[in-house]
Amino acid sequence: MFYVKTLSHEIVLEPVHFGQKLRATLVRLLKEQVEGLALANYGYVVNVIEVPEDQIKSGVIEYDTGSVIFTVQYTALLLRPFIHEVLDAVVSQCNPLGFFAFVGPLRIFVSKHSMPEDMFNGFDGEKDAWISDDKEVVIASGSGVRLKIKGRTVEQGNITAIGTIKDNYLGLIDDGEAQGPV
Amino acid sequence: MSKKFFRPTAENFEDSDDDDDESDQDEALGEDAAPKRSVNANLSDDDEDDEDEDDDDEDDDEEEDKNQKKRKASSGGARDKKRSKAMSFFELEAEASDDDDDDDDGYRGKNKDDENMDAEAQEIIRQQDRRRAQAGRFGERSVADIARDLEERHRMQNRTVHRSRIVDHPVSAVPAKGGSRPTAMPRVSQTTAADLAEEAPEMYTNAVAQQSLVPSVKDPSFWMVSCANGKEQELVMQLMNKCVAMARQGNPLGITGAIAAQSKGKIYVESFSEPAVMEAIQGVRGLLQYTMRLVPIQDMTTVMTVVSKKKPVKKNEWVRMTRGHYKGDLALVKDVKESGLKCIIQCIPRLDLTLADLPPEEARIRRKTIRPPKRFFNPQELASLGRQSLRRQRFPGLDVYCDYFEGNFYQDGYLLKEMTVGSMVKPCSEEDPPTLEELQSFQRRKSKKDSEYDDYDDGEEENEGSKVAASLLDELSDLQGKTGLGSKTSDGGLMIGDTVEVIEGDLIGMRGKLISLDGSTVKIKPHAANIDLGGMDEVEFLIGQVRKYIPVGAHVKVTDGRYANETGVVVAVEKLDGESDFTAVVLTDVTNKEVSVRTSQLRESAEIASGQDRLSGYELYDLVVLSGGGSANEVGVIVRVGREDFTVINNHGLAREVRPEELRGKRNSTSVRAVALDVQGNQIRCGDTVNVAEGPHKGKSATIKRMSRAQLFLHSQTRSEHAGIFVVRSRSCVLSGSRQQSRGPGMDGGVSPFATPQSQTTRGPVGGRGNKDDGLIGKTVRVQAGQWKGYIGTVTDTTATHVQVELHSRLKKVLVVREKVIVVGDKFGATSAESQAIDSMESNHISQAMATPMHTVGGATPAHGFGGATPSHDSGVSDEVWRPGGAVDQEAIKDDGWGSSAAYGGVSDSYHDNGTVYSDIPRDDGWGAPANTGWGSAPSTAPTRDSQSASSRAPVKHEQADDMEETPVWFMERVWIKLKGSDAVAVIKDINPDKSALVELEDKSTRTIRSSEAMMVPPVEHDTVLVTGGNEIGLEGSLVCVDGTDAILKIMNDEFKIIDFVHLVKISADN
Repeated sequence: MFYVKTLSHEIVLEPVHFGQKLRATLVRLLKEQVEGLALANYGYVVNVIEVPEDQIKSGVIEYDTGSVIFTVQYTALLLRPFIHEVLDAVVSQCNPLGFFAFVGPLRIFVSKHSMPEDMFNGFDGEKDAWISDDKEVVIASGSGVRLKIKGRTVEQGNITAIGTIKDNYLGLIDDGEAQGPV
Repeated sequence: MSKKFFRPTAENFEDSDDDDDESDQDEALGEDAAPKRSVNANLSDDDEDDEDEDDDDEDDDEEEDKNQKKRKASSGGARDKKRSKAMSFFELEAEASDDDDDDDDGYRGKNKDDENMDAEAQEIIRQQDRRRAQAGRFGERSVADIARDLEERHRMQNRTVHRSRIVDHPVSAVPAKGGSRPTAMPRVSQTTAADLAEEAPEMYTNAVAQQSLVPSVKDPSFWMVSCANGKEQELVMQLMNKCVAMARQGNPLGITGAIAAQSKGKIYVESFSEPAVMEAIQGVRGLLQYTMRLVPIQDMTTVMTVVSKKKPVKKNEWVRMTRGHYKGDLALVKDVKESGLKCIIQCIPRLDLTLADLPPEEARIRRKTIRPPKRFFNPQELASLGRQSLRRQRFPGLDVYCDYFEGNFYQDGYLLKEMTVGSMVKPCSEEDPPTLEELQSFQRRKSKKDSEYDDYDDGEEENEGSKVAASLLDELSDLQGKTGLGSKTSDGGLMIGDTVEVIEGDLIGMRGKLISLDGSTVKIKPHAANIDLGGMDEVEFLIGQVRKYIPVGAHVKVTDGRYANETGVVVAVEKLDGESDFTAVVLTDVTNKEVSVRTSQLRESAEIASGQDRLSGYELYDLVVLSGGGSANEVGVIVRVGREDFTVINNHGLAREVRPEELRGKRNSTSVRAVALDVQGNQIRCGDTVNVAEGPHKGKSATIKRMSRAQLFLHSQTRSEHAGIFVVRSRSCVLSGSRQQSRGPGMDGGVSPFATPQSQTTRGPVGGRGNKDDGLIGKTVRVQAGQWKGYIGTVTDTTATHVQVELHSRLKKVLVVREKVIVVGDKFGATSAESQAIDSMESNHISQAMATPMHTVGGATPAHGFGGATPSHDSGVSDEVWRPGGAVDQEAIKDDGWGSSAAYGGVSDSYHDNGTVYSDIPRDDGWGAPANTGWGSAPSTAPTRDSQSASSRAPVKHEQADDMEETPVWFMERVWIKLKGSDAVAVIKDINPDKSALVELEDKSTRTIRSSEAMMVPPVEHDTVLVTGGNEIGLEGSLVCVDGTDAILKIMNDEFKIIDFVHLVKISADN
């Protein structure tokens, strides 16, 4: 789920950056540092929406290095996978154990055990696709699928999830043929 | 003779009576031999004997007697059958020895008293033996019985000894006997043999004690004698009979034993002397006397080693395949044939249905390299594929109807096949029993069939094999539950802090945290706070009412069982039919495979296992040198570490199993140091991320795990087979990611990764040359100006400003300013497109008519000829490596944003600023100029700039080709055109390289136009015309008349030709 939240981040600024553009530098560094990062509790920082300049407090000098530490408040657009959340994702890769799908930066693995019964043995190595027994459903790289998050693994700076398409209204929603965003 | 043989011990003993220590020692050692191969009970008895001897060594007759008994014990203990009959023989011999001893007079005289007692003792022994003989149950006497007998006998002896002791040594303690006998310890004579017998077995179980039992030189030797197969036991019996008979005759054989061990066609005779053996086997029918050989002392234990029998294959047992695609697969024995030599097995087929569609050559390769996945045979599927060879047929030798397809029989989806036991299949050993997954996949058929195969398998409910698998599965899961955690009823792998789910009772489904574990009850703190449990914070359950709860998606560690210490993510939790516990499917972290584990064996953990991938010094992903195989330096990367072997993927991308002995060291460090070049000439190293540009893995992105020469072992997280490793040539890859941007400025602006390759040649040490190397070296160039103008040569060296060109036509290297050379080909020389271009260029000056059709030659005009100098897409270059994008990529490249002239405009401007030749030409098209000036502008840019322009040229060239197609064929010199918009008629005077043209209007004024601004003037009669197409291309003449679509042309020598009117253009008659 995407949501907006105000977070704070500490930026260590070297003295070379001190000057008139200090605030701008802070904002730039903040974006560089946090955008794309996965925060364990909040999910991926998709975008830093706003950095209220009046919220940038005076920094504190670190005695050892001479750098200054600023605590910056910012509003960010976050993507956090919630367990049981239903998401639309784009399949990126299929392998004999299942397929990987992406929702923005979030990688979700759907195991063959989490596919409908009629797809359990449906991996086609030639086409690199998962095909249902009746050949109706073809999930290949580029397809759009609707899936439900079953589990989440948080690693350092990265979040991966396990999903399922074995439920009502889940599964293929776009065969990837049509152009445009899924 | 045998007497003689026996004597030494006895006599020696008697002679050395005075210094008893030494003689005792000898005696003891001499007697060790027999007991060593007898059962423990006997050993202890013998010990007792020895001790006794210590005490009353003066008692010579009795001693002798005992000696005999020891023989008895030794031969009897080891081979009870023989013993029974040998007994009387020894008795006789004992008497005989007595007689012998009588000769040793001095001795006797000394111990007159004992003489009587000896007689008495002998009498007792004899009685006992007789009793034993009468009992007549020696044949089936167990070891225990013998032990008891011996014990009794020795107790009796003890008594005897005791008495003598009382006489001679009122207070006696037995001294220790030396190191060879662990049991020999100070012992009061009152200690009964029974006590000792009880202790002895324990003492002999440890390794050191065992070692002391190994035969030494002091023990009798073995002689091996060949005989007919199957006669061994009979012959041993014969020998024994002979032994007895000879002894009866007062002429005992000097052998101590004969054994029919497990080796076929051989018996072993034990004796201290070779002649004794010779005598023993003399005259025994069936023994080949001349084959007699001494068994080396170190091999003697081997003779007696018991080899467990090879397990035969039985019906309904699990076996494993050992060959081919099926290697390692589980199979069920349906029937055993030819007395166990062959069997009919049932397994899941590995059919490759695509084979039939392939040409034989490819099919052969595919059959060798690709292992088809396990899949149940489905006749409907085959029928739908239109395979004709499918039919129903009875399996030979079994009363079942099967589907017969391509020489194989399939029953209910399983493959039935006759296999040779041993070479094709092996029984599942204890160490490698069928795993849960294997059984599940074997059984899975069952549930599927209900839905799918109803129409086909009517009647039969379930395949037998499936049933067997199911039952074993139950067993196995029970077993796993038990072995996993002591007893399944105890705690089911629960630990305090675990999340558990209630599976029984009113609160079924409730989850909570386990807070205490007390024998058979557990206390749980429910997770859901909103459940009103009447104020209760904790709920108590029986341990059987809860199970460990492992959610899907949890990261877990396997705590027990076959997959202990693996970690991974749970992808599914399912309850299988007839099983009490849940099974979780875990996707492992490292190897990316799925394993089925019971939830009780799992624990939630954030740990990521890396261990357990090590075997004899090698680890997963090691680059190793393989021995054997074709090439001497075959290398590979370990992709699986098994219990005793590895799976290695070699530099050709083929996986095979090797044993640790076959590996000849790691090459990881070499790999780390190695540098290769990608298709663009970028340096790539281990750890870089690359995109695969061609080949079967095209389009994949992966990290270089290892590299060996030009082969990259790439690792992709998302691949499951071969632990994510696959092999690609370095030249098929393109470096991607941030390193590329920092390294090559030419890569900015989203250049298509499939740009023109640079020189294929080994351009010398890349690192050493630094940035100097810009891809020009090795290229064929033409000198454009100066003394060597027009010469073609190969660039051998470059500097920032100059290039050294080795001329093709003169044996000479010349130094030319960089701007004055232009690349016209690769290291193999000018490309065909180039030569065409040259031709056309030359002909341009003479006659425009000689030009080959422009649309077929990318660079027909001089400038374009040079501009598109790198291999042109229509030049028919055979080596695909030159064009990583390949023909199919051309479209993609064009769509890549390259078509936008604006995007390139900026770049071209920068070149323009460098003062190029064509700078004065309006470049509304934007494509021609940069391409033409690419090399000319080189000096002012960084050397790498050249590679940029080189790499960016390919797309440019395609664009040119497109432009040429747009340019009408008639757009050439001397052609009359009509300007669009003004209807003014003009003659093209000159064609500029950028395809604009200088035209002369009727009023003699000139202007520059583009082809798009001009229209052809349709020729009318009497006009001078040029043929621009068809067979007569290039012909000039005057148009006589037009007849429909045909035109009649009068050419120079007054001949007439009929030409398609559409091929004609009006040209100016002058010049």
